[in-house]
Amino acid sequence: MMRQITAFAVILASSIGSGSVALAADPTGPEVLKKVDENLNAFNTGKWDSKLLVYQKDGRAREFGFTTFQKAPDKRLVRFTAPGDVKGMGVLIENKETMYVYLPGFNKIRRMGTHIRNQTFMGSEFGFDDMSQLAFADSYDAKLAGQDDKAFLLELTVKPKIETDTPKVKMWVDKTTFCPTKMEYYDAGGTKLKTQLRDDYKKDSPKHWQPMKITVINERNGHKSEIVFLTSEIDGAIGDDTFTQRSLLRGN
Amino acid sequence: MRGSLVVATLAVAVTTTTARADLVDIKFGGAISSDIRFRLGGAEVTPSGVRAPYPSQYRLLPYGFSRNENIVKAQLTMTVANKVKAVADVDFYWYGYSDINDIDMNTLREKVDPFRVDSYAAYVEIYNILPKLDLRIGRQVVAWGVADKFNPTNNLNSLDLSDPLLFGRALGNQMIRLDWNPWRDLVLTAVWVPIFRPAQLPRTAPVALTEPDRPAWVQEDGIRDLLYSFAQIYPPNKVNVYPLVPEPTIQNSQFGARLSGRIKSVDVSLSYYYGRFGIPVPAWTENKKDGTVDVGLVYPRMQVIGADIAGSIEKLKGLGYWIEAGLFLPQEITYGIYDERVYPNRTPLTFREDGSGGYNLATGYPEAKRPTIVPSTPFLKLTAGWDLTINKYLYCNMQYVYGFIDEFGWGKQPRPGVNFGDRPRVESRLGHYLVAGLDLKLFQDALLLRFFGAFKVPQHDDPDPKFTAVLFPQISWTVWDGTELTLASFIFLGDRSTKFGDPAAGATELVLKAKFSY
Repeated sequence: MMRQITAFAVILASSIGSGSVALAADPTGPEVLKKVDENLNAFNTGKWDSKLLVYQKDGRAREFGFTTFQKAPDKRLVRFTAPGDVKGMGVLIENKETMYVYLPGFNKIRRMGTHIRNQTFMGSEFGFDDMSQLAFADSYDAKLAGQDDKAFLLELTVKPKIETDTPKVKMWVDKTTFCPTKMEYYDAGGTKLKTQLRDDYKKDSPKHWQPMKITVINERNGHKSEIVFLTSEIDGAIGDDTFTQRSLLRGN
Repeated sequence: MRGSLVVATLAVAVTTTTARADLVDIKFGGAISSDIRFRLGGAEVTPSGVRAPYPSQYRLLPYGFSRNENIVKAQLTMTVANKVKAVADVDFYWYGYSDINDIDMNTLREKVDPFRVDSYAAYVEIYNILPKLDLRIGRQVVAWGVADKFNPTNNLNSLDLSDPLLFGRALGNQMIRLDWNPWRDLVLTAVWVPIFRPAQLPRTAPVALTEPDRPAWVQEDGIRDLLYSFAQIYPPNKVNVYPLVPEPTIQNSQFGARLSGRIKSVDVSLSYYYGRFGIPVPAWTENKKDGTVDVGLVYPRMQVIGADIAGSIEKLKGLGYWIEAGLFLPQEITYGIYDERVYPNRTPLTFREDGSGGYNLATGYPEAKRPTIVPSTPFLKLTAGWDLTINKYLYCNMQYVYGFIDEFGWGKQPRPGVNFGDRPRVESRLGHYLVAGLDLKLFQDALLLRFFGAFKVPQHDDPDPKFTAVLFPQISWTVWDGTELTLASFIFLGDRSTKFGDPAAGATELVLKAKFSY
């Protein structure tokens, strides 16, 4: 019950950014994907203020606010700021297996099982992988399927023994920044499940590009959700003690 | 000149104040909610000491509105960088009943529209008062344990048992807390609670002591049978119950310490608590010549040695698991029985074994004894559970609980008969329970269908094991951001001689709630 109340929150415990590194002409698929991964992780620490918009059928959007702190490679802390029923809640991810949630209503930090990856965030179309995929090459093999003046098109196929609902991914990568701008996710039968768009890239450090808007569209039911990044601070002073249960309990 | 100086001084003061204010991060939040409940069955509960029952928050009808509350919650949090945090919250409750028993009351606004105030937090926290050491002083809740709701290691704050929907939420209390975090997630916490705050009991709790056919809570079968026979021959005219809250002395303060950390990927903690159990138990009774019975309740001292682990099993789809146990070392509580009709000089009644398993009333014999309410035998309370998100719609949670939150002490628990006047039934004081819940989320999480239940597992060593359970079906609709409507029911199953069927435990209710959080 209490765990369920908060499980969705862990999904948000990530932010995604990208760097910019030049690559030789006519690169291979794995080379492009390697650059994408390097760019996604081109920071040591980051802090983002964001809002999530979950669009309803009538076009109105439910809105959620949160702040994310991250330290590469996988330490993350998320604090929720709105609406009132989640305000004050905090999520700490210390590594892939260790996640905690702070529940202000119960004054308690709870250890969470990683099963919560199966949930969506606040009923949005964002799943855990949408939010936390920082190294595609760990899970996917890449093939260069095409290119035009602006973008490479990669076809990603899941590696053996990796379990995922989306074993095939098409990724469009900007040739200038090597940032992914669009991804289509497919199931094993080739049915398109969802589309992710990353727009409004802004350079927030010498090495890092930040998409200021990420949109996910569920291709089966047409539902759409967006995360809009309001601020982005890269490589600021965020110490290890930010990513501890003590810090989570403080709730600042 | 003088005027200019005053203006200049004011200007400096305002500037200084503004600069200081800029350092303070102020957050404000809370909720407005309405909670209406209708009772379906159960015992009638009337306020004591009134000539005629009257509608009020003190009264429960078998069929009637049992709650009509409106609540405004407000919380203010002020933080000065990473140095100090001050938190204050206030809950205003309007009961929604008038509390009028005479014409004078009808002229007093607080009687016509009664209200109360509660607070869970009013504290100041100083970070790094010494290196790696945080200090928090004031009204607060310190929640220990890894299990869901059933936490045998969580004893610093007494529980709010007045509302079954809260599932025993901890009450705020004044305390001093120190957290020392020398390395990563290794944390040593020490807490001192100067003054004990008892648990908030449900309105139905007095039924357990005031109904005349209730058996005494004594352990010895022969003495209990004897006392029951006395009570049938001389039924009380009236039962008054007096909880004896501990004096605010240093000896009665509470203390706890907890060391928590992680070994590989498993969270581990050890804890110790010295204090009292928040729910009182009978300690003495005085039978007066006029048939009145006074019963005294005490809050037993106890020490609790606790341990818990929690983690996640990747091979089982990330299943979350937790085990939490507390070894309780209780103070022995014996029953002082005084009867003016037998010994006008207040000599307590004592009993002696008759050699065939029974007891006789016997005073003055060295081997004669007082009956035992809580033996000093150490006992264990334990919760073990798991939870799993099956897919984005379904979540399930299951726990095995040994020793419910209100259960305390080794030995037997006498219960009333199935019908009023029937012979009492006896079962183990610590029960085995299965607590399970399933959540189904639909329409982008806007609709939550929850089915939750706690079942008492019949114990083979009980002479008359019986089924009893409490169910909690719930529909919650998140209408819009921070706005929730809930329709639910709390269903008590079992006859009067069982834990959840006992009218003292509560009664089945329908619940309608609306809440806006800001």
